[in-house]
Amino acid sequence: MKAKHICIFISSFILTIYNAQVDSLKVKKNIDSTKIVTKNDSIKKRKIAFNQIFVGVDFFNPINGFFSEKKGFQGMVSFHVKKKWHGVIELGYEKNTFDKINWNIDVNGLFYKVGFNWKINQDYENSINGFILGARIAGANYKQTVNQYPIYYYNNTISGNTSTTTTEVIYKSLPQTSASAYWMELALGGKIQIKKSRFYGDFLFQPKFLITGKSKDNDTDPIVVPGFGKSTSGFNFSVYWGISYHIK
Amino acid sequence: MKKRYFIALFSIIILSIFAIQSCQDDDICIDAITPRMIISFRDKTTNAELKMDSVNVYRLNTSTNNWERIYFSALKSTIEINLNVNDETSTQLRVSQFYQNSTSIYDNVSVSYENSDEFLSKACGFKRVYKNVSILLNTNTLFSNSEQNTTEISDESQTHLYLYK
Repeated sequence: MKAKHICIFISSFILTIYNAQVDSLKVKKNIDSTKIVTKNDSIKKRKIAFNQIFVGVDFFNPINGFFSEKKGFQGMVSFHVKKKWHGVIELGYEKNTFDKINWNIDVNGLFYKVGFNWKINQDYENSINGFILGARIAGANYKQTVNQYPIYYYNNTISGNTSTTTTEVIYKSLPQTSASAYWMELALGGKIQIKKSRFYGDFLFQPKFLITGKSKDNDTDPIVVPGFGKSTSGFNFSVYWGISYHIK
Repeated sequence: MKKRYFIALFSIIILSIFAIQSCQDDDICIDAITPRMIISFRDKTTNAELKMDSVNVYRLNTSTNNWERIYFSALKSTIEINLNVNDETSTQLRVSQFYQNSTSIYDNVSVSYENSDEFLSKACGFKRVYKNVSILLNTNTLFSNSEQNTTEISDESQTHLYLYK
């Protein structure tokens, strides 16, 4: 079920990009017919490409924090490396609670991501606009408090005239410990100029795959991690809708 | 041109919302949880498996100090009894042949151990593992002797205690 949804999502994403790609090719053909314009365009593009330093903040998660137990903020810096490649550093702080299936875990701490964005296509009016595909290595160092963990056990009981076994649960807690987790992240999204200003809108969809993570004094797997969220068999995704400022 | 980007980015936003909605937890526990103590009955002369005509097991409730009947079976040679899951380091069991506690023939078995909680998974939580287990047959009314097979009760794959009748 889950895999199916993800598959549908990814395929529709690819289709959207494909459509946009076709559009930009059409534009390219038009420009090619007037050769002088093409030359100017390529010179202009190179000039911009060496100076793309952006600082941005995310708005989705702080606003989403009003409606969910996941609260935090996040920012990013991106810079042009060469051709279609951009380096990206993301930093953030997050507080989260896992309060399901008999668990109650509080976490809070910093997370960081280092990676790159690769421009899939570019708008010929403004080469910064476009779709991106990226990857990140991410980590979090955080404090974890297990307020409640479940221990399931079989209980022998006699009800009426039959001897039965029921599954029951008791709860225990663990004191606060420091923990860390590491994961891989993909980024699919786009960047678009807001009117003719130096501000750009960033839209990213980020699937995450947990690599490893342990808390210091017990062997619990990461169930909830700042920046990663609530793990569903080591998989999760997040959304980044932000605004970035074109510094240089 | 720019309009198309807006449309495409907007569809990313919509799709990401759908993706979030569809990502539901499936948290069904399939691992083995806290193990019970496996008791097997044996014939004291032939050492063979022994099917008890009738077995009743009582457990001492330490807060009320009452023996509570928790299990009965007929014609079984192996039974599974759960030990305490609280912070106490022992469980007092009474294995009796008949229901009537006062009149029946019974033996008390005291099981002492160290508690240890082991993480299983998000869906299964933790399980209790009993370490440094020592089992004592306190009386010899029904059973002539006992044999402890392990010092750690961490799963139900083997017999933990043999009782010879």
